Amino acid sequence: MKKIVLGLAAAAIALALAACSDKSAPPTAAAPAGDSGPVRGGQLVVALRAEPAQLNPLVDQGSGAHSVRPVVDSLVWDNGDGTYDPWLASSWEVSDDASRYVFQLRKDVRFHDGTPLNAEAVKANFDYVLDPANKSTGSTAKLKPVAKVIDEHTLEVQLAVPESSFLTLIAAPYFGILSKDQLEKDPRSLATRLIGTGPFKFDNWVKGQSLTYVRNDDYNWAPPKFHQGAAYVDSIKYVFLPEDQTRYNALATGEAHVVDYIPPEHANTVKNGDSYQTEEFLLPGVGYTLHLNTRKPPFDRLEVRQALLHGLNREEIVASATFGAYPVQEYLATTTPDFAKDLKNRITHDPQRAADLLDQAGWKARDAEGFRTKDGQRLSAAAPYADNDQLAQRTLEQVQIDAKKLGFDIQLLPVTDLPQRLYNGNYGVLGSFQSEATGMQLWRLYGSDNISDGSTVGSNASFLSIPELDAVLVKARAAGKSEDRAKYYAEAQEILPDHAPSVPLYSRARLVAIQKNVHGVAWDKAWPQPYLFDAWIGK
Amino acid sequence: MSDARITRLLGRLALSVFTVLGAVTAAFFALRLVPVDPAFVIAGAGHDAVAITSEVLDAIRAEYHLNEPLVVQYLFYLARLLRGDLGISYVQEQPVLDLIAEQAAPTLALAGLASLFAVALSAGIAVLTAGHRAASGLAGVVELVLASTPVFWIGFLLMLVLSVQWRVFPLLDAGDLRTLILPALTIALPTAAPLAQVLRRALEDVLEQPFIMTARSRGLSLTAVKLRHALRHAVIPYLTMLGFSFGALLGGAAITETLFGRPGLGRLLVNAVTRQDMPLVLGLVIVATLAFVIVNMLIDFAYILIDHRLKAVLPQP
Repeated sequence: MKKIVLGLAAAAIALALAACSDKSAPPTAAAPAGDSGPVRGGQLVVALRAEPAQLNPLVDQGSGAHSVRPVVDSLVWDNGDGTYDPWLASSWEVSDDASRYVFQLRKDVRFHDGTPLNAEAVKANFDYVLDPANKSTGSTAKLKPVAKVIDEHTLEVQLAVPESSFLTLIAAPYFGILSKDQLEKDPRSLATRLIGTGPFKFDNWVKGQSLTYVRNDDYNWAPPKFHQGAAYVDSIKYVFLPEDQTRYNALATGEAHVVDYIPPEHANTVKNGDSYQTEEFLLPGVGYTLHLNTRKPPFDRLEVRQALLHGLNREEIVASATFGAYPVQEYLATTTPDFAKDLKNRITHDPQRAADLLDQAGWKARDAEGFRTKDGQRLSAAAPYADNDQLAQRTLEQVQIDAKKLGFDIQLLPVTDLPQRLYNGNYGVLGSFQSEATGMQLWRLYGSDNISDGSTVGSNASFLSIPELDAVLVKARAAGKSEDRAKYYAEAQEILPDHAPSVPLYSRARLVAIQKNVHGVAWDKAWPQPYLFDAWIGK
Repeated sequence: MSDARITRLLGRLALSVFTVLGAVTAAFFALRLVPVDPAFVIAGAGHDAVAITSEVLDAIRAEYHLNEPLVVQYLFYLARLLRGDLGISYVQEQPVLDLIAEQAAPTLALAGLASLFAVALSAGIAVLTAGHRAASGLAGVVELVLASTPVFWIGFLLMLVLSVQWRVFPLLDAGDLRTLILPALTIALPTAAPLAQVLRRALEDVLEQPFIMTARSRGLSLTAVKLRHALRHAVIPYLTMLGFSFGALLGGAAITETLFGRPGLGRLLVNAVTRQDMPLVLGLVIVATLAFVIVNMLIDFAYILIDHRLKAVLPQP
């Protein structure tokens, strides 16, 4: 027995010594002056917050999009300002009503399995999304794109409804082009392995830990703004660290080169300090918005909705809930390409006007706790939320406190069946975060043809149906030119505050921290995230 | 082996099978009675899913037999189970058996190393401090603190001090055993605390027996007496607790795995429950129940080896 104990002690000491002797030094400070070009080689380690449930980008828009960009390319590259650059498609035509697109494909592209990229291959991707059995629930599926091969490298896509934002939707990683062989012969493998045309090839996925890609040496078809030829680093390793502090620690020890989603608590330290480079991108789209159910009292009355919109102190709510890290916004975030820069009808904070509106609507009396009442009923609304979302909870709590001052009773309900509630309209206020790099979100959230009507789960969570607004949205979506699209979406943004279907609060800023010796990290604007093709690791 | 022993063994096995079956049945009906439509879960609703049309929902319902009565669905599930097919995960779209098998090795490694540390720490401390008033009192306080401290905080502290400040261990997986040490230590510390208490208490009970005084009077040192004579008597309750701890660890340690970014069954289960991924949750229930049943059986057999008195209870050949 004694020998066993001594043996264990010796083993423990040996282990500790072994660990000490292998200390890896963190990367040293700035590269020596006069450092010329990009260095080839090395493994780029990127720490991510969320691991995808499965890799197939064509099925859903959230899960894998963070980590599949290196292996799949898209037809076009979105510059984020309404213009697009060629990528897998060398040129394209858009019909005047934005419902028909003809793409000319590059002739020199190959998939990782050796098969060539041609119109048949791209058609296979559109067909996959069209088939309901494949459960594709992204924006592209909703447009019901029908693809037709014109010749070997020309493809026509006809949409069921005009959509001027189609190019942004297919520029995103969730419409990365996959190998036709894999789609048709081995679709089950799409969940765990992707064969695309990207600058990196799929290597290995250790569930719960990391996703590794190795360089595709044949790559030669990057978008024009980036260097041509193969990537610089030998491989990319995505590491999944859901705990915010652990991700930050990986930055501090130097084990991660790029760390995604620095949480608001550390944002200032990282940005103002000198040890790392930072890139921040305010996610475009409608951000976190409180949707008011216009089908149920009390929000079926316009005055009550307007009262909440103008009565809540949105600036303070956002500052408290996000630790001052995110800015308050109008109906669209400022980084959305179709944001109306000279918006006139901005949301004003006017508690007096709110009080007057509520009086007008008949909610004059107050009960013992200070909430307004009418005919014995209290002015209250249920606000369900997913109980594992801390930011949503903080925000809703602040809203609840602020609404009380106006006399509103917002009841918070942590629930697990949120999508069903959306389907049934079983809520008074629904807070949700949505982001997309196009004004099309205004149609998805406020267009009357997106209401859940028993046959689909629609995204119009306020059940808003305003013919004037619908007319403007139709014109926006059928606008073949970007400037016209922006013009009509701007009109929609002027109209929305008058109908007050929702209270927009904030969009999240995606803060990425990069070690000082890593260069060339760019932004993919179609679905904002770091774009790593140009990245290289210096000394 | 005699007939009596064989029947006993078979009886034990049958009981184990019933236990697993019972757990699966209870989990199946509990999960399906939750008012969430599985078709929505499979369609990925709530995760940026935009266009869930009735065609998609119908296709899902047909494929997964969701329109049949609940008992029929249960029988379908059992039939597949007998063929060794645990079904396909709703959210991850891969076979449940594969998903669990992938996590088996990391979980076993972590559970194994954590248990090793826990045994070394608890046995070492208990043997050293049993019988000494002051030392055992002090150890008792330290153990109380460790048992009450949240695992998350212990892991956090270890990570901060040993990985970030002093760079003794790597934070991310370096492909070898070093990355396993901190998570294993994180789990081992709060696990070792009650184990040490139990062992020390049992040792002190044994040390009061008359035969101990006889051994001491023969000239054996206190430590030798503890190790050679007392330990064997005190080890039964210790083993029981160890069995429970190890069985629980085989189900994964979700908090530690999430904190250190390691794969494991614990994280898999937490994600499965959060996403309402029923086949995966059921698969994990089966695995966890099996693990407990097997560990319990092994502990029972260990009793028989350790305690000669139990042999008399068994029917003789």
